Amino acid sequence: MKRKLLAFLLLCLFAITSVIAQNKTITGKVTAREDGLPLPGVSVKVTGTQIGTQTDANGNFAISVSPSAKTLEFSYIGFSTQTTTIGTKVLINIALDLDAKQLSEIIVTGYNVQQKREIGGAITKVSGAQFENQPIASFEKALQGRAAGVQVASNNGIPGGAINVQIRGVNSFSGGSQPLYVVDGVQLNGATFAGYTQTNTLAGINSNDIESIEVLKDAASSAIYGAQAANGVVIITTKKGKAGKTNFKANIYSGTVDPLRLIDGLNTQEYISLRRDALQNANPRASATAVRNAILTEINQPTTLTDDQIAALPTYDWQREAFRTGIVQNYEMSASGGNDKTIFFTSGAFNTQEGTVTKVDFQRATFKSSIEHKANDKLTINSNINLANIIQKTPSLGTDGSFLGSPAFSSSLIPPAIPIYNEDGSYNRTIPGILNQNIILVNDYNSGDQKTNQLIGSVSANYKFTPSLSFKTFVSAEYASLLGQSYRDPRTPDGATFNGLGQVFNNQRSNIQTTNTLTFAKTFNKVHKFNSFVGFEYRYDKSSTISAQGTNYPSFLFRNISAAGTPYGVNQTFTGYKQLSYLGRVQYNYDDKYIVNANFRYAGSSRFGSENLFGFFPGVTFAWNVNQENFLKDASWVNNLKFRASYGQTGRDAGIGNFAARSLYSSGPVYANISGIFPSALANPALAWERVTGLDLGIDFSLFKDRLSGSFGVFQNDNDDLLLNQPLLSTTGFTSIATNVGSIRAKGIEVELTTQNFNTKSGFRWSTSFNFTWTNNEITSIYGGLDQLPSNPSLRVGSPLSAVYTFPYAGVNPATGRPLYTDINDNLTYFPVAADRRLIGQSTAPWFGGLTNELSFKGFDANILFQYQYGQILQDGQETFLREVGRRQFNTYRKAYDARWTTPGQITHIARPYGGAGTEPQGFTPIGGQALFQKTDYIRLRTAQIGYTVPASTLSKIKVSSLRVYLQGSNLWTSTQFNGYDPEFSGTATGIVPQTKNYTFGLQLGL
Amino acid sequence: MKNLKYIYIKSLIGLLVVATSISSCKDQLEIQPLDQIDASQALTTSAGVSASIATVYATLKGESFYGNRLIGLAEALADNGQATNKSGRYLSESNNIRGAHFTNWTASYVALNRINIVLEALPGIADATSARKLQFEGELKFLRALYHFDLVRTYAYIPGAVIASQDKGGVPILLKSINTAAAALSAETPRAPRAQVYKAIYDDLDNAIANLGNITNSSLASKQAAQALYSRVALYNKDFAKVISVSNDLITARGSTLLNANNYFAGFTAAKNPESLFEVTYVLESEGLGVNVSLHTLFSTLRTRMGVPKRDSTDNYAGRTATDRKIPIGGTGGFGDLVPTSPLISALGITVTGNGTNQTLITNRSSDIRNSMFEVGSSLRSNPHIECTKFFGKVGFVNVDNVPVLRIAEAYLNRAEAYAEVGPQQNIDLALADVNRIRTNRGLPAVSGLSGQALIDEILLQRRIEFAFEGHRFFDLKRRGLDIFKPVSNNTLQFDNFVILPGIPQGDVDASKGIIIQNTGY
Repeated sequence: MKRKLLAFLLLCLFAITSVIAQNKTITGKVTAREDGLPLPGVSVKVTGTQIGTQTDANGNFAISVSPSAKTLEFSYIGFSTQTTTIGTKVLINIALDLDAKQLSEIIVTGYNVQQKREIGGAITKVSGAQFENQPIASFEKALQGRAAGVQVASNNGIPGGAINVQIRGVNSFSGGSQPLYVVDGVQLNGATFAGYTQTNTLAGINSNDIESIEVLKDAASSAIYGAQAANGVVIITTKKGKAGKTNFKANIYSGTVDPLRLIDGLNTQEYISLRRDALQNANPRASATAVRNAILTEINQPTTLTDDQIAALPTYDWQREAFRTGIVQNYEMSASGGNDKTIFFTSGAFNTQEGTVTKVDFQRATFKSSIEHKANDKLTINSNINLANIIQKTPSLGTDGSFLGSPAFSSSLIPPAIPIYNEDGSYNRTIPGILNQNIILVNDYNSGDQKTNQLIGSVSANYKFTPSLSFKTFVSAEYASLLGQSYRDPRTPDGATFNGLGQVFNNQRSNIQTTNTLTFAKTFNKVHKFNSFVGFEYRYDKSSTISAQGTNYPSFLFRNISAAGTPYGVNQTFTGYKQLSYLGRVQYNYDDKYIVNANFRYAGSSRFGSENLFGFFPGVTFAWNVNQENFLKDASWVNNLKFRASYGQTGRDAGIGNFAARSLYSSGPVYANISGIFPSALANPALAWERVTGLDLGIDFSLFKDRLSGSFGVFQNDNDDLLLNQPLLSTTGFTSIATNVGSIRAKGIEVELTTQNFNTKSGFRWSTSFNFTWTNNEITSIYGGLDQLPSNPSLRVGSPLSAVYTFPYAGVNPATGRPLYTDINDNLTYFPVAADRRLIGQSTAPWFGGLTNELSFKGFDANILFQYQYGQILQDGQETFLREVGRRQFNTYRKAYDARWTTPGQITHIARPYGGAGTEPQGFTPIGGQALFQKTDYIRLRTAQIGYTVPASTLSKIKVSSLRVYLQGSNLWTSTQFNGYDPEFSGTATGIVPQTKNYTFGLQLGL
Repeated sequence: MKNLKYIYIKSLIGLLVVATSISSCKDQLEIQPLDQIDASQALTTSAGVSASIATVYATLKGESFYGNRLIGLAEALADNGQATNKSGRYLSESNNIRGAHFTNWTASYVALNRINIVLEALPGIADATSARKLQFEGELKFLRALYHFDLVRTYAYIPGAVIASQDKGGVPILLKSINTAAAALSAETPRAPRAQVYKAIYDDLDNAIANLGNITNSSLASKQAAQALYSRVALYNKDFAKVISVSNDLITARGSTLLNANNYFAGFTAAKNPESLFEVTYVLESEGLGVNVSLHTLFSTLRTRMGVPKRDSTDNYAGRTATDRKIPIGGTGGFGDLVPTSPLISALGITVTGNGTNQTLITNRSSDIRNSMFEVGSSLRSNPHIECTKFFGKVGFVNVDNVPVLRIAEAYLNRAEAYAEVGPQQNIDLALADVNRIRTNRGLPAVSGLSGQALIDEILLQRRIEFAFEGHRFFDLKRRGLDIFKPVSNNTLQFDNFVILPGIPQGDVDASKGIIIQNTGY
């Protein structure tokens, strides 16, 4: 029927044209200049009229024009509009240029798309091209150094492990900082599952499938996501097809992974002399011979060794044995294309990343398919599927911690005098001392893996009732199944205790969501643009786990739990929450000059107490495009100048346990074969979200023909009703209750600048992007008028949330070599007390940012990213073990060894070696208070890439449309004073696999 | 096309209807935690009560209680245990460093509140007879007495041995439940006078003795367990007549279980000690506290026992050489962080050369059978020491041991001390008879002619040997106000040193607005 109608209309049109008769028909083909492929759906219009048509699937068009028509206008989304003179021509073939700027002007704001000039909030966009082919397991890592206000740190160097993302800092006692991740409309759970290794569920998305990432930072913009959005929203848009000839792309890279650095430990002789000093200092009455003998015994050497024999003892490098060079590989194919009705994108990738410690290898296969089909003029359907299969090997003793058998923990600490292998090549099993396990053996014998199957899929239908009114229904599922197993070999010390310990778990997660929106968008009188929608959304997220452990295996050859002779434990857990929301947005745009946008969400969650099931989260943004005003219209040096302001309220529910509002009994303890139950929490029916009220002001600009562009922004966020496990007197029988108390005010400055340094006719281009962030916060109240939290004195009103309160360290007494602290009266003391604690720093970095340089010249291109942070102090558990200078039987790093106090009068910060308890009589530990902390300031060459694109002229001979080769490196260089493995970590650094540096070589091929 | 449009309009209306119906119904946000149950359903049946009581027992298994610190610290803080620095644990404790002390405060009050919640729910249990309810009540009162007693003997001075200038009284008593947030936020629980705390413990024990049946399973509370605890509480309270009366009842019922030189070794290496009146028990391997925390790992590096020692000056273990002794056949197990001091080793009748060097060797053992629970440790963890092997994976899994809390031997020694003390109850002959009962049953000759301080000293010496590494020594010194001689440093810790008492968790002191007064020095 539609076709008949169309034919009829065409007939009419032809009839009319034939009546006018003087009209002529122009035909032609529109192609993209980039690849020469035809462009379907290009709008072809006679300038200044409503007469127009569109190109067909092959890019061909035919248009009838009157003699008065002077020029034709060709426009297409993502390409620069071109105008051409008609003259006497009847055939016009035209090639359109890509308009990168135009693409970057489209911002995904959650539930809809806006023009950059309409944005009144603080939103940073990072395009997928900026981080293409980085060997990163999960995409959040790509934000590192690229977006102002966004701070990213890996928890460790496990590929596919947890990554800590902070948008405008950490501003909650218990709600963490993880933002809400939304992939193509699907709100992700975003959890990192810590089973036997860390499985970051975001690693299921291939970062090369990402078209762009938008980060919503201000409260008003995030408010559309309600009570889950106070930590910011990261919106990921994956690649879609483009009508035209089908594009095939292949992408291959391969390279190496190496430890960032190894600890420079002592050799055997230095170790022996250090231990001798330590034991002698601690036992001044012991004879030198007795101490010497004790040390030799300690390292399994006979006391009869002569000094010459001691000098000849070999040094064994456990780190070299534990760490290795790993291989990274990536193979990827994609196809995209379509016609005026249907577009598609599909890709498949296989990626392997070996860890620098053998048991953390990562392997991933991903598949993605995106199809959009216009059923008719009114109805469009869309489906998106992202599948991933991930296999991770598991570190045999957890991802962090001071496990004696963990190579990441013990390799730098085992005394260098201890051989790794016996003379016959077998493992040395007699390892004396505290670290009495051969970690190489343990790592070799233990086994385990964690497998993840993951789906993120959605289907949507959009129906246009009229050009201005449409309805969209969207249904999605995020599903993940994890299967893990871990085996402690009975030949290892930890496994021998159990005669083999096997563990398995299965975790099933599902996250179902439906979003339904009714959108109205219309322009009145050419200048009054309205764009609005209302909708409702429902989400149900749940997770259930079963696990089992067994012991007593017949032999190490049996590794499946069915072989376990003795059941050790079984577990089943379930958790989940439901959300129901109503949401909407109204945007009014007056002639692109003034844009007012108001959005709201009325959000309910099963996490909240019965008295506060629903919350209202509004946001208002305002944008003023000054350059559109008459007084600036003639200022050619101003390309864009926008003032923006936003004010809104958003919520944070992350700190609320799924059932925290209820009075519940749990099970768990067992006594004499009776399974126990106990009251696990007190009810709080008033439990609610944390409320964040944010004001955000900014200027976006582009000047001097876009040679200088960027934005300045400031913000202030008031975090109220902060969730705290408010400590109770333990004499009440409960230790804490989850309540909404406390406030934190956060402030910040965000700067993003891009300069086009060179853009010469010869083709040399050089642009620099710089971003800088300062953000900090202050606790403004706790509860009940308290100025510090009773159970945690570092949590005080007037201090940053991450304040570190402890004893100031004053270095070493030059006369005695004993550690000194500063008391509250600024006097030196050997033994500080609680009252001497002061603010000595903070454990989050208030200053951070990045610097990117992009260069290109005649087919060559380079991209270099530096990233930095400043102002943070952290405790690196691994480093403090390494700084004991002989207190216990651990190796020491050379800088601490060299700086140790040895002679009276020496001024240093490392106390004299002191064995045994490590603490001198009536003294305080030398590694306590401020001495536990180190500055983590660093500048790091995060990524660098040099590529060469083979000219099209060469390629056409071999029927290849594009070919680029490149060399890529990450974490290549770091400037820091930090003494541990790496200043970048989150959480604990004790026994983590440190981050890595890598080099890859890659090839991108287009057909 | 019209049809299609019609369908869409219809479905749109349908969706809107769904949306509004959802909004009218909070049920859409309903979700049940499958791992937990609503508190209102938990204590409606006797099964719920049994399960709740099991949790209160289970707390006793933890690190802060009989699983580690209530036992280990009582040795380390006193003159029985010295730290070896094999893992670094117990170094501060054995040096009496400020802050390295008992940590049973918080979890005790959590357990006490759970006890009170169950006690108050008892009348409403439909499926229990009144006799069963009385049994529950007795069990709960025994546990309440035990928790209060462990709190007051650790955090406060013991009656009769008080440094008045540093005395801050007893501990808060918890006899009523706290069930709601409002009650918890407004609770006021001051430190009660010491006498009031002992009075509350007496009341609970009187009730427990009246309501509990005779002992059938030393894992659980019984009439005899309550009597044994009463005997100790009364001794600490210097209430000697009470000590004698409850000990008499107990010894009448259970005196015959006292082991002798022939069955001591078998009894002390069995999963459950036959002398036990109350023993904190572990059944499953997973209940154990593991290689870092268990008493097995704290006291010993060994995984396998050498065997029954022979009374032989040249070779303690049949068929093994001195070299064998240093490398245990079962390989190295735990850390062995806390080992006997030389005065204790001497008191046990063990002659050792080179203790703590790589030449550690037992050269002789006296006839005291109690020294069979001590051996040379493994040299693989660095130089071996003489170690205590009373906790040795006896349940059948490495690092899993039941912990005797109350043994019949204590009733004799409590009664002996009560008879020996000056007062109307004093009876030197009966005191000597009790202490000789212990001596002879442990392979030592009887003593005679002792009286006064010499008699008390002998009783305390027997207590020290009898309960070595069972968690008594520090309290026995503390309740008598004795200074502590530290054999390693050769120093004496004066009884008036504030570190005799631990600090109360500062969070509670801060949050109590002055009601819970911190101990001196913290």
